[in-house]
Amino acid sequence: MDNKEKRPLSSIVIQYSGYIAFLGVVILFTMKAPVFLNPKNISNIFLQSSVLGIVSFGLTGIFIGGGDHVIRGGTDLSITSNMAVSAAIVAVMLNNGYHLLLGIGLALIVSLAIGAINAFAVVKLKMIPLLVTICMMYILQGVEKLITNNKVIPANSAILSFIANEEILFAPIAAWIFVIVALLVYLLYNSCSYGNHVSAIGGNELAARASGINVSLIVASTYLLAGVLAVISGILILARLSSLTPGVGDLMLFDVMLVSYLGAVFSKRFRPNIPGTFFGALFVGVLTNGFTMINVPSYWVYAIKGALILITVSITTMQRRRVL
Amino acid sequence: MEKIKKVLYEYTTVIMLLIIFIFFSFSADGFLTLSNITTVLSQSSVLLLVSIGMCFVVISGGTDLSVAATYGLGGMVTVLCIQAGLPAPAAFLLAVLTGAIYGLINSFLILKVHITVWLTTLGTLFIGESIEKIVTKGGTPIYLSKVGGLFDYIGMGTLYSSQSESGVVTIKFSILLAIIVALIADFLLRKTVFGRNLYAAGLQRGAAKLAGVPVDKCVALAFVISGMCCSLGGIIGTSVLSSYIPVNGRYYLLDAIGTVFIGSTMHNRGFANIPGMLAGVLFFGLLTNGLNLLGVHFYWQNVVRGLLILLILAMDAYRRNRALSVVKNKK
Repeated sequence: MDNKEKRPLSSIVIQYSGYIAFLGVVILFTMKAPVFLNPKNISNIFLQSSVLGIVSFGLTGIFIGGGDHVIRGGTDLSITSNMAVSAAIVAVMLNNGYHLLLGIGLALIVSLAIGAINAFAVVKLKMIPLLVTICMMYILQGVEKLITNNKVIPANSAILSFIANEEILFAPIAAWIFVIVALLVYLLYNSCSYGNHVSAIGGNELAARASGINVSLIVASTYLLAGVLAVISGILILARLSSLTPGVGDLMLFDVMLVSYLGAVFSKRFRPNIPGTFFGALFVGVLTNGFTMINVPSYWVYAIKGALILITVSITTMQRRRVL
Repeated sequence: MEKIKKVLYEYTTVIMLLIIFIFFSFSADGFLTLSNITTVLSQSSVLLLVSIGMCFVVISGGTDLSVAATYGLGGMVTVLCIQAGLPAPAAFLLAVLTGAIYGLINSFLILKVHITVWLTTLGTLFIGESIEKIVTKGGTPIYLSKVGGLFDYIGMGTLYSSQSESGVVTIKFSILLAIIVALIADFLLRKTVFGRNLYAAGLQRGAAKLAGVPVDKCVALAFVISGMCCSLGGIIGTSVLSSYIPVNGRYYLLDAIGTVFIGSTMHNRGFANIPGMLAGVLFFGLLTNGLNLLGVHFYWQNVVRGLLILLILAMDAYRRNRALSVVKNKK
């Protein structure tokens, strides 16, 4: 009897240990720099996390559907290069006098084509996703340089600056786009049968196939969705920086992977998941923003970030194993 | 006819490599000369060492993203020690030791704390790269002038050099060192109990554990070997440049994954292995060299490289799928 009453409490603590760590970091920063919890700064954190978060949703979807095998599991290393290429296409189209929407349309087509090639190789040729997407990454790095001629491309458009600067309800539109995309992806993965199917395939592909799920179609769709999300974040990059610097994708790749894997800390079953990725992106955003606020040199930030994340994950994992 | 088909299927990767080699020999002037081939070899030593490290970890059923960090840290420790006036052998020893410690940290986090391989090595990658930036005050390169001695020899020393009509033929000490490490690695993987255990641990960890294989020890050792090989790569890298450039390791990280998996297409069961990986390293080197000689623009080189690797891997996957379906049909 005693046992039964105790268990829920400890399992609740464990389920939320990721959130507790998150809260701890926020409290720490607020004590050091009271400005940290300003509404203005909070909206700023959302804005800073938006690009990273939106790409990471795409990768998280692929993780969920691809299973968690270290090498054979689903992954997409080309996703940030895809984002950079999309942004490059939009920027170059704008500079050549085309309408923004036309650029976005073309970027969407290209990005979906890339997603489709990845998906075809993974689903039909049964190639290891890691390798397919490394090759795709090489190709896209070259394509990005070809499009931009390896120069910074300015991108000026009324709509883009509207997205970046105009505020609705205390926050820039870009921050709201992040929240809305998060909600939509959350609904798709956590309250539709689609999400259940993706999780089922990730858990056990054969069982999912036996129960009548169209495995190929659904795995392919996660790659296509990642492509669409890459385009959205590419546009946000252009809006925020009003230019495109070649190589931005290579710099972000490992951050995106970190956020998507970090999402697991925020879940009961320790698996990648959409709300976890949302909080993971905010966590990384909070760390970057907070350390800048208390004047830690930028080159320390990554070390502290890496150490903190490893410590958080260690504590969560160890606690979880103790209970199970 | 059937036999030819079978041979073609078995050796797809080798045939692709040969086709590329023959293509460059005919189209690129100066490709098929002794001096050019030895230059390509000499430039491949660092990638070879990092790939050997990656190979061990991949065989153990994981990946090691922190090779980029151990490469950088190895170089950093060497340069700092040399600056502090330590003799070169001591500096090299400390650098390799740093790599080994890094591997231990990785394996502790993975095996004892049970953090997933990707998250662990991503975390240690970030931490290592930051240490490089902190020590160099934000990433300014450290230049060494006139160190001489063993430090110069490990990266730039030549074993054999002669003037031929096509140019200077040189064989660098560094490539000999890398090949010796590769031979030792191949021996370890194929002829020792450790190697067999490592393959077993990578293939079916649970089954290997039940069969009494010391899985944790093997996997930990794989990460330590990876750290040591990469820091040795870092030593050679700094010696070649006689300077230390921080956060330079990522350049090798994804290439190393590429070479290891190209290598695994040459194994009949698709396992990562050293001889195949050597061919992979050679392929990367020859491809870059050939495209340069052909005058292909730098921007296009990435595209061509990606397409070719994709093609090789796709052909291998197609072959395996067909083999699988033949087995199924026979049943």
